[in-house]
Amino acid sequence: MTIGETMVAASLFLASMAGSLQVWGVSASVAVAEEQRQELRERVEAELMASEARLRRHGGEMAPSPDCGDQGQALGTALAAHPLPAGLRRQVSTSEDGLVQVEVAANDLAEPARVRLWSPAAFGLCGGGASPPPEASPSPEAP
Amino acid sequence: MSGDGNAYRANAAPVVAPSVQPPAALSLPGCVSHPRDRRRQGGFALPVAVVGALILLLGSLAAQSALHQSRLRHASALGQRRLEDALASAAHQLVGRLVAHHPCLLTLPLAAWPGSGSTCADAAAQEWLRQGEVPALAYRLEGWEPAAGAPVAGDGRAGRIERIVLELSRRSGSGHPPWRAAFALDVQRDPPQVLALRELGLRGVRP
Repeated sequence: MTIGETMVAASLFLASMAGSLQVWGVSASVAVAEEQRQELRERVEAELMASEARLRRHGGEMAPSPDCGDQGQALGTALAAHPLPAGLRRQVSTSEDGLVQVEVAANDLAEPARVRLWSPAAFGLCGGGASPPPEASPSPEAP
Repeated sequence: MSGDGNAYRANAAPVVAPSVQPPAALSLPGCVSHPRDRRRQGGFALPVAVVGALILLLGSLAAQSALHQSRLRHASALGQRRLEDALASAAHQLVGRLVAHHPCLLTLPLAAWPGSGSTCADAAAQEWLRQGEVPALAYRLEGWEPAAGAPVAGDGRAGRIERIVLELSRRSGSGHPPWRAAFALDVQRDPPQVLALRELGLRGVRP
């Protein structure tokens, strides 16, 4: 084993080790960042699910009405009044026909917001056949 | 004889001496070895270093590959969640349109819609119902069928509520596979009204 060979081998190994450490370092930092992004996505997902649960809960407390627009406005207002967890941003809007649009995004997440539409009609809160609760207006066809 | 021996040693010494003491410039300090040992040991550092470097390189590549796979998996899951959002939004939009403008179609299967008459929904209105757009998705109504089995009993009005299975798909042409999503609706027959909508999930691609 010569000094030259030893020096070449050591240089090669040290260079590959330095490069490998650099790659591992970059990979670790990217993995940590990806994990944080995934955690933020989960928070956005949880907020969307909570929004639907709140809409259903508010819908359960509302009396049915023929006008879907009014019902949608009431749902949107009730949803927007709920406090939002830190780090998230939310936008609630209601169309004329009562469709409640909710956009939720994380402040530190450079991704488009998640968007969901909810209709009060799908909760049985409005429509041409909307009627008061069953006990208030028994159906003529009921046995 | 001793003279011959002395002569032999005198003649042999110059031949043997150089092979016993290797040149100082070519040997490691404190390392004295036989030429055959040198041939056997010489050059082991470079292969070891090359193998070590290759192992480090492969380890780095494996880490990079695992990270890339993880990112792809997360991106795919996010894309599917967004698609589920869009299809669920489409279901709510469609139900809102039906309830607000054409409740007469609520209890009719999709195949019976064209014969429902102009008083219920004309062709243009039906086309408006069959195709729509929500944020990030253009969708098509694929199915609106009463679920198989007996009508669903509820609210003490047995026989007046039935289960409708709604199927929506992403409209083709957007460069994405035409995923379908299914939803179950409890629909009151008289007067026609949707009581509840539940997601049944994505149903994948159909030809």
